[in-house]
Amino acid sequence: MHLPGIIDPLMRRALVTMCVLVGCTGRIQGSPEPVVPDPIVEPPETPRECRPVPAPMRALTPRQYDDVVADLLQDTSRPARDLEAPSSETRFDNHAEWVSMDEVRLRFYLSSAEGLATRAVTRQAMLFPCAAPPQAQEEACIGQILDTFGRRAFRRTLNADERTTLLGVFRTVRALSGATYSDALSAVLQVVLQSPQFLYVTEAGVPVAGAARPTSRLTALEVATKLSLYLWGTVPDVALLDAAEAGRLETKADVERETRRLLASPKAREGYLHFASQWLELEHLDDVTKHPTTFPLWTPAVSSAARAELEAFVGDTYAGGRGYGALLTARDTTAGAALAPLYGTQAGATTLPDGRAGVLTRVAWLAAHAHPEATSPTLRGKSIRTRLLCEEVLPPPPGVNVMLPNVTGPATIRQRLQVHIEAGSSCFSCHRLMDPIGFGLEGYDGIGVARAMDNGLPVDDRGEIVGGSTAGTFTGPIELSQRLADSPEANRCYLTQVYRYAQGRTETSKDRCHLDAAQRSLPAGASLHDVAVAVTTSDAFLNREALP
Amino acid sequence: MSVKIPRRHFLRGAGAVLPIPLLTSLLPKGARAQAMAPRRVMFWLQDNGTLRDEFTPTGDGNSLNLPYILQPLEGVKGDLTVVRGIDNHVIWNHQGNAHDIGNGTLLTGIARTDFAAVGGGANGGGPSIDQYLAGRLPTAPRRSININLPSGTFAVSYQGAQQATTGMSLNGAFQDLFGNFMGTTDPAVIARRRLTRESVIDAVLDNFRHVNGRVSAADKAKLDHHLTLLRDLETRLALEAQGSSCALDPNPPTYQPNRPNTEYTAYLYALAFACQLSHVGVYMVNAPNVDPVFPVRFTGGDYHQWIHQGPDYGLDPVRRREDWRTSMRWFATAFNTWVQRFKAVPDVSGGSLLDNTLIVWANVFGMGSYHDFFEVPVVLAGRAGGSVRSGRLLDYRRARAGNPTVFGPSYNRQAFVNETTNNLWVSVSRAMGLSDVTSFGDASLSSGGLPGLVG
Repeated sequence: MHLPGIIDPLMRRALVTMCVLVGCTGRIQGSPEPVVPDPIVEPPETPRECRPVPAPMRALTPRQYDDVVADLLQDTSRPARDLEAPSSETRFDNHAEWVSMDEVRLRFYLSSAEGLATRAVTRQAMLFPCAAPPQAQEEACIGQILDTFGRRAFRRTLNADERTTLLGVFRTVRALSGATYSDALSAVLQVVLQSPQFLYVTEAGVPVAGAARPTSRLTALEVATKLSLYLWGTVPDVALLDAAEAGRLETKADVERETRRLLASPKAREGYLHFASQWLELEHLDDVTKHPTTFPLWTPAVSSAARAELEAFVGDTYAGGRGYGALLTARDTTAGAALAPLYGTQAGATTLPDGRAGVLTRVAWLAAHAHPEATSPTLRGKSIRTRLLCEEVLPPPPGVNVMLPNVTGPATIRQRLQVHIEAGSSCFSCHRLMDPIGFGLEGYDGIGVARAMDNGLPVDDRGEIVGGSTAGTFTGPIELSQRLADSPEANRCYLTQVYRYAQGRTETSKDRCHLDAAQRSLPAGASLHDVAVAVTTSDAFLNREALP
Repeated sequence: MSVKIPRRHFLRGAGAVLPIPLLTSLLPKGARAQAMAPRRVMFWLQDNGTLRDEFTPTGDGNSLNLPYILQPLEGVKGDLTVVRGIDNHVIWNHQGNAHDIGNGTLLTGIARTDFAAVGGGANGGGPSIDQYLAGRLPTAPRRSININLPSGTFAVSYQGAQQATTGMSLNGAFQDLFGNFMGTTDPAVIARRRLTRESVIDAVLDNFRHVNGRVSAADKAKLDHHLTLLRDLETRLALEAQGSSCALDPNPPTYQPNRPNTEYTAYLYALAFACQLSHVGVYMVNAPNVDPVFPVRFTGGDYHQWIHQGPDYGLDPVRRREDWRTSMRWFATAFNTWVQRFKAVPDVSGGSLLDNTLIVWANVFGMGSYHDFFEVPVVLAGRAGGSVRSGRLLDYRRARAGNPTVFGPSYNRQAFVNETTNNLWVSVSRAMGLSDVTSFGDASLSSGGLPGLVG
């Protein structure tokens, strides 16, 4: 994975944090200087040719699988919804390292394909260019289906071997006693839906002559699939496949044109939410149960309304061509009646109340990053540290005492967490990177309702970001959000997150040069769409290191 | 001539209240000739540790006195083997969250792939004991039956390094295993569907040869793995189509949302083993990060935090300890349901399913509140075809300098003095009849198994 002697930025940050962790275990007593992660942002290097990066095989994620079959077969049963979709702080669900097959997954693909195909043949007139043909035309009709459905499923025109195989299965099944045309068509669809050409995304590219290092350029069809899976979360439409096969997806200008075309589609909003819900850890909401006595306002309906409100805001911000700063500072809302009691607004309000702006002040994000009974400045600070500043914070080592001291009297969460961040405490070196950021959000309780008191004592929402170029003290969520919106470090981190998602892998040292180049290409006041274009037109997106 | 009944075509409402083996005359010839029952192994996993000082039984190589937490098992005491003094040595000096490293090493016995290098995810460092045994025991329609497995960094079951196995959902497992997929009893339709399935899989195998362009060696290995699994699946589906061997209870326990589902899971696994759908199972009773659905008395809305707080925390420590004891005892109640079920199901050899099964109740941690890895509770039920003599306490503790339960700094090599999980898995393998197994996972932690457990 990592070549010996090469320590990429991610690794280096992790190593630094591991040193901090040694402090956590108390092996380094009274650590002299506070150790903080490296600042991510350094002056962009002078433009030079970046080294080519790898392009490992990815698999359709469960969500992509469901969206693709909805697209191709108009089947919205979402058969893969229960299939595990792993993700971690540095890896989205489409990460190449997640590709792993086992018997349960294979059986899923098998039975799902049988179900999808069985339903599809009942609607073949609607789905395919020909249906229920006379016997003499059957194979011609299958050929047409392979040219349309098959082409989109494989994201390219099928080669002769594939056609032979698929026509072969059609003939075999058609010849079975009692089998109909539909039975045999169903078998063809099942094969397509279980083939590696459908389930996996590979990018071999073609070698680039005269490159300083062995480099391959992705074929236009590979670019089309990569674009579409990134921006839409599904396979390319016919127009994109046509453009690729007709030589209209060759230059960076072509790629930008198609990127912007895809961004203008409603599908792009869905594709973005696929990214953003992982980036902002909204999945946590599905696992969170709030204690009913402590938070009687919290119900399943509120939980889904909160998520819908945040997703609508994020989706609208993206689709509306706004920039990263707007995600953290804009006050538009679609909060309906369900959230009005939590926000203290009238149902139908289109602006958040005072004291709220951007993602970090919304009920969904605040509730997702809190405990069932209380807030968690640690979880909130950690999410900002890892997701918005792209720094790693490793978990406590095994055996460490993570218990806060027993309660002896009324105290705010902030007071109880003081033990975390007192110099000399074994928790200090790690928790000072998280808790003081989260303190700034203590004006909201565990479900995101504004509060002035915590456990009967006044809330103190002064906070601090320690280390990096965003460092400094602040008071309250608006100041925190504004600081992050203006932070070059946070803006660069957003670019990095998009890059990880678009590439389906975590960056290494080789990617830094590409990220710098993408950052330089962004206009002042770049929109989220501009960031997408900067990534899709980068050499890292369009080229790969050549296979040996 | 023997009658062949498609695997999925179970006898429903045959008057049986329990799954019973079909008359041997109805079994395929091969199965009839071999009247011996296979050995099965079940990993019944508890997460988040226990209340160690009230879990520990007394007794010796010939007797067993159950402590408070295990008392619900009094009625099946003679079927149990309590194994005391197992440490998870693998985790010493192992970086990461206790849940990640505990779950990722318990069944693999080997260090996880480095966290910093791969950034989380299912990082188990090698195959877990369930998958290893699934590969060594006779081929069955299902490689293993793994249900309710935690995933990602919490994954416990691995085909190989970083290759977690996918669990079936608690809800869907029954339908998946026993549902009448063919949707019909018409033999002609069933035959056609089976042949179609075979043609489809053959064509998919064919398409692996047509993948456009080259891929890296690492990606080629992934495609080859997929291909191998697909061929393996073809074999298993053919086995599945060969014939059924058991009947379904007309009113089987069904899945209930937000309930522990103890009866349902015990029935499901006993049926699957009795039908020889598989010889290996893993069931995670409680996930580390999910509030339990079992009738546990815990205060606050966060079970995991409550575990961390320990049995003597809060303003009413007496009540707190009582809640702890009650919660931990619930697991023994559930385990008892399982043991009783396996005891009641007859096996093809004439004895009970429990005679030929080893159910391994293991815990990711030792003491829950410390999330530690010392004296991990292990209770075995069953006799694995006679290879395990039950009704005993086997104590593998060794003298340890200092208190093993103190935090952090005690995680040095010297703190781990007891027997290893590796030797436990060696012994479990040998109990399954694999007498050639002398090492599992980290070879340096294996020394031929736990003395006296098997044989």
